[in-house]
Amino acid sequence: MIKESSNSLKVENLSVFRSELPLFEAISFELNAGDAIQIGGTNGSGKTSFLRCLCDLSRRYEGNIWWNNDDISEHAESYYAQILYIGHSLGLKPKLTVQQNLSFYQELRFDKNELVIEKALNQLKIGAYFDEMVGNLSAGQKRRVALARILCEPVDLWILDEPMVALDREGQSWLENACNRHLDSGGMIVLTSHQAIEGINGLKMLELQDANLDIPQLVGEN
Amino acid sequence: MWTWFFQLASPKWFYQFADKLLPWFRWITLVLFLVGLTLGLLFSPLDYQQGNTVRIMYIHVPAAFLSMFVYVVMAISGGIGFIWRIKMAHVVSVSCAPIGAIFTFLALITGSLWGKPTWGTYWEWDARMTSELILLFLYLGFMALHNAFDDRKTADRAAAILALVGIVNIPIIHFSVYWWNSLHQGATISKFEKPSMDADMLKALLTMIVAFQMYFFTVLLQRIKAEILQREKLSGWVKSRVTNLSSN
Amino acid sequence: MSQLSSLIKREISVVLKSQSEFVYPLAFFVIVTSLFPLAVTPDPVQLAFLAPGIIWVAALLSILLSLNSFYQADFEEGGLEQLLLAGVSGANIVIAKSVANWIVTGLPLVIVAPLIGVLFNMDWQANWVAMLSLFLGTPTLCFIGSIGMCLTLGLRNGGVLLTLLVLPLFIPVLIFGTSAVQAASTALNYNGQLAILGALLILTIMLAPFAGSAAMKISID
Repeated sequence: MIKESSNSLKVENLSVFRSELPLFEAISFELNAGDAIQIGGTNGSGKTSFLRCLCDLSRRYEGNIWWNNDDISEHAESYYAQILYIGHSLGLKPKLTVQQNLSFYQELRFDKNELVIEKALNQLKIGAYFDEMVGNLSAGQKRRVALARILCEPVDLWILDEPMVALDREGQSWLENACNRHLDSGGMIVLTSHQAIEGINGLKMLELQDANLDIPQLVGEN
Repeated sequence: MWTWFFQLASPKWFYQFADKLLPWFRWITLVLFLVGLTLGLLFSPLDYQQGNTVRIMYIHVPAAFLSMFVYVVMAISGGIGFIWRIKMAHVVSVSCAPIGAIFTFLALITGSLWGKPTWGTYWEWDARMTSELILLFLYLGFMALHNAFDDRKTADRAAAILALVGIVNIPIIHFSVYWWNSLHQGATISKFEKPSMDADMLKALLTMIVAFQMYFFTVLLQRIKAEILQREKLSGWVKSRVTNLSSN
Repeated sequence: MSQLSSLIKREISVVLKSQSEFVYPLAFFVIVTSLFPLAVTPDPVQLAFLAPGIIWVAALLSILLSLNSFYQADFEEGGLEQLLLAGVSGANIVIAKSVANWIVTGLPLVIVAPLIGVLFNMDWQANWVAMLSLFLGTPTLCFIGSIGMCLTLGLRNGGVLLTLLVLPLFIPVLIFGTSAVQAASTALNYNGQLAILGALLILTIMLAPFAGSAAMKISID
């Protein structure tokens, strides 16, 4: 079933700041339904900071971010309802079970549906850990639990920070397939990774460039 | 008229504005202090009870008054910076803090010195002194919080919230401390019961209060200038200013 | 409202799951109060006189210690930002955590306080009012503490700074709380003090969530 979607994400002349210095040259891009973009760059180039600005968690940027032609900083509530952000810190409570973690997040925005959670975990081959405490899982398994949210919480825009980290080949290809299905039904994806991702259809690429800083010369130097 | 006000929000404009005002402020402050101190030390009467020690009042009262005034300025400018995201407002707020803390400390020291000859002890937990002490903690907390952040913008905004929380709490703390003191003091006369105000005393006191005010504005402008230079160090006008100065 | 109650339930269950962590502030309370007879005097008359202040200061410090477990982990795990992204308002997060903190830490303090009162030779009237004053005062402390906690979330040494920031703000509650108990122990009227504690509680519940929410968003930024 192809969902008709007219969503658009527009990033305009955006540069993220840290300690009053821009982290990278201003970037601009536009995503429409079915588009995906990978933000690339070296460690410390500002990929994570950029994603956090994209989520409106951070306001340390200059430039504009438009979701369906609305500035996200002014329409945060409606924007939040349509995005899912999975960052480095996965947001899982180690002392709660997998099911408790996923149910809690699911019920915040959607109707409770344990079956969907079970199905998602099975797809990710961690169905057996339904009632296992997250703290007892390996890094890769925790990553899978976090990624299960993309199946449990259907939203239009996925914002994923280094989603492939800690995933084995099987997990990686699962994620690529899930992304393709999402794009086919009109969804959008923004992700970062410092490795090339081959399996996602039509993945655009944007490298963050170092910002051109005009550092004042010391007096006396020519 | 409003355009002039909005221009103040530009660091460069404010810097030049401060530069123009400062010489005047410095002279006015100096004159006011000379006049006030002369009036207070030479031309005002002795207190019939306390003798010459009452003259500490001419430093203590203005310092205490300013300590509260500066906190209000700090909180309001912090609030303006937070709500309307005006950088200069935060500059004002952050520059106020050490000055206010010093005034508070001065009030405490002079209060303590006043106490020894008058009542025999360097410290008594009376309402005003206790209130001043808590105010000092609030100032130190503000400065410590601002210092603790690496990113200056975050530091500004967090400190602004703390200042606003403080300003709401200060009346409550004040009321609580005075109430607590009334419980435990009973009928004893307050240590700093103001001596009946002779007209000459009042003149001197008011002059000193205005002198302290001008001192505050003078030092504030200088601190703001330094803060602006630090914050805008990467901008063209600061660079050329600094290089021009050193090539002279 | 139901979102708030499910948030509160989650907060409580997470803290309770950390096995005995939630007992530490309570144990601290008992140990610290026990230090005073050793440090000052075991004389019952003097202890009864000192008791209101000691119980209140110890309660205040216990709550200060308990704040961390409700915020720090959530912040580091990325849980706070996920809550915000799920559309939960910052104010609701602060309310949920403060209420949970009070239920897990404040309420036990209220219950244990009379036992300490007995150790300090307080009469039953004073003990009863100690419970009442703590019942009204500890929630206020939890909410005020939340503000400080949110301001210092991302900082190294945030714990000590938190103490410096929050203790002056605790002073009004401390003054009226101890005064109520002192009045009760000397058979004077204490209703005024309790009323003021109630007023402080209402004022804090109305304002603290917004201050805490603003501070939280700054720390996450």
